[in-house]
Amino acid sequence: MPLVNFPPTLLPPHLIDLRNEVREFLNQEIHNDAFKPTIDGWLSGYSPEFSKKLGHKGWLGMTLPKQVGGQGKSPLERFVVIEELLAAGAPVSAHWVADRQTAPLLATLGSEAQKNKYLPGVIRGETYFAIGLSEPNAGSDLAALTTKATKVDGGWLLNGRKIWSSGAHFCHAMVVLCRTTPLDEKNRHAGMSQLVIDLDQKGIQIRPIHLISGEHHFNEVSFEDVFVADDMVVGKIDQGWQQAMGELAYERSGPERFLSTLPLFTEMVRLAQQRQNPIVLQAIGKLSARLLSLHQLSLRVTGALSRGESADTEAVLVKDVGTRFEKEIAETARLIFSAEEFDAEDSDISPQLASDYQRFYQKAVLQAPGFTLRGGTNEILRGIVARGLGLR
Amino acid sequence: MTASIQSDAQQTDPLIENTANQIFKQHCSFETTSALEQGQWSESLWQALQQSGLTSIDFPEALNGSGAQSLDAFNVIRLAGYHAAPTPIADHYIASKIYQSLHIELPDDPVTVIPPSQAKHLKTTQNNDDLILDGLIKRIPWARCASTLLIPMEIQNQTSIIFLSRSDLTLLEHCNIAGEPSDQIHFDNFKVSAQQIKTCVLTSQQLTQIGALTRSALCWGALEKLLELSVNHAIERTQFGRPIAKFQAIQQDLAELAGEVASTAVTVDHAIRGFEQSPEEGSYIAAAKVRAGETAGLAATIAHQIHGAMGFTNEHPLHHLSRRLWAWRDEYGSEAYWSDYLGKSLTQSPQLSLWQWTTQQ
Repeated sequence: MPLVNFPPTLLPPHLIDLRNEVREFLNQEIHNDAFKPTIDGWLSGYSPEFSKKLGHKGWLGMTLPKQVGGQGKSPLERFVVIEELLAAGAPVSAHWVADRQTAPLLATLGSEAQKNKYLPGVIRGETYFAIGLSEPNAGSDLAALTTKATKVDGGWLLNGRKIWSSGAHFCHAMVVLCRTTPLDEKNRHAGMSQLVIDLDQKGIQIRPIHLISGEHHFNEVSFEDVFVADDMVVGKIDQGWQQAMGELAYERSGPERFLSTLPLFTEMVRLAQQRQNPIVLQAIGKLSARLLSLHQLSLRVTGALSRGESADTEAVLVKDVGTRFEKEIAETARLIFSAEEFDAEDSDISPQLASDYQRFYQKAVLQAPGFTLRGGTNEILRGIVARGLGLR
Repeated sequence: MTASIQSDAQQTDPLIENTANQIFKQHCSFETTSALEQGQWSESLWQALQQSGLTSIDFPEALNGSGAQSLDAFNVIRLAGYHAAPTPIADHYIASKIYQSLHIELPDDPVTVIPPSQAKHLKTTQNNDDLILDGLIKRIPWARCASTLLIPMEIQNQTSIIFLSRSDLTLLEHCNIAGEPSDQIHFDNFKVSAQQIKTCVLTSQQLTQIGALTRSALCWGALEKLLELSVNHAIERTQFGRPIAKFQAIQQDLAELAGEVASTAVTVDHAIRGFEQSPEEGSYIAAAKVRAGETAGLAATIAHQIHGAMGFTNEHPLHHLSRRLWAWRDEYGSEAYWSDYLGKSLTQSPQLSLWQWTTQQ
């Protein structure tokens, strides 16, 4: 048995049909100008209309059990759908966190009240969630968080700050990881709980934090004596760390960890059809080989999860390799087609293609620092891989 | 909760894998692999592989082969890479595809193929019924150990195979960077009769692809072993009072190595499975050879860094793997050749878009 294991996964015919159906739908949407493909669409492509269309198609909450209104599909079915959405650069950021991690968390550990209140809206593409993990002084060292909930009659009073909460300004709710028992330095992971918080309540302030691109995705969310009813505790009190780590597993293994800049690569290949030289061809060949490898890695991790096999180390490893690839696309783009090449008035490259390429490239470069930070820095991920290899 | 999905993918045969592993373990000691570089190849290893049917795994039963899947044949080639086996099993496999296409039985003794990239340097002249060969051909894998040598030639827009018996040839012994036989033959007004030439449906390009896939599979196996050796060394080697595995700098390097090895493994595996389905397709083999070649260099660098000075010596087995990786990444086309090929296939009147190509199974 190799140290890391990626057993082959073959999509059954009905999933190939599903892939084609999604692909056809997206082509039609692009053709109808329903959306413009974008880089990093799962962070920055906000379109509630599009999210509702996906809900209508039955492509949200696919893996949720039927009892809560889901379809009880395997992770592979969702994988096929989201791979197509990401590859097309579709605007999926509104519902992304809710569909990826909050809904599965609530379906598994949530109370009946939580399931009834939130899951139907997630499945319709109308209810959006933000992540409430990082804090100003708790980044890679998440267990250092200090946001705390204090027991009061009938519920909890929440105080503290969460940061880097993408989309909190448009999201309806957030799952907050907080301390419900004071920190014990000998057992730092104990005493945390997860609470579901509606973001339109009294005592909540959402401050925008703009990225280097000028775009607004990040927020700082502060809580001041926010009342949280007992039935909004997710799972068990003081078991929040283990629950949140389970949530991170959903966050780390998906194809969004290698497809964020694919629309730029697609344009690169289109341009290369008009501008051929060995440097361009070799660069495209090398990136294509990496793309294929990442698709296979991600597919095989999802296949293993679908079969109920564990693939913790493998999922983390894919994120490390995949996010570096996302950056490499941007770096290659600027080297093989320089901006100056498009400027000549008699250029054989159409102005549309040239401007799409420039737009994608600039956005890819400006978003790139985030690729290897979000959802666990690559240094932290490699530490986890090292543990899986038996090094620590 | 979720619908259960079985893995419908073809599986490798564990019996074949176990048999191959046992034979390789028994015959591939540090000494036998080192002995290759002193000019002694392991005939007993070849005998054992041949007698177990492992040199003709996917050769048709009707022609006395084992009639198994190509997946299993490449699995054995991967294991040969893992064990740094001093044996021409990969080149014999390329030859077997020629015999298979001609519907003739495969010899028991090793057969080697002159790579088309070398064979094209031969000058041919027709002299009545004979063909006259002239020119110096280099880098012929394992020629000195083979009973038969095959030369693929493009003659009148058709691929022909010239069958030569080694006993009729004078070899100049050379080695590749790993010390594996990589011999030369000087053809000087060398006569080949019409009976020695057979037209073949496999093109030179297809043979190059098969060759590249064998080298990719060898690299895959060697990379797995290299990762294992490096991880084990980091755990066993103590400095500053603790295993070097405990240092984050070492952990980061090994995690990167694991990622690249896995990335290569799945790409080569995917290409092997593709070869079983459509043997003429070159693009997935191209991707496999590009990934294998890129990772070979990186992996050798990291593994030697982790192993320190000891791994840089002849006494340590690491070089049996690292030097093979350096050799195999250049045989049957480097990353430069195959990335160019893949770039062309995706941009010059492509049948599939980039994303269709990626997700095709």
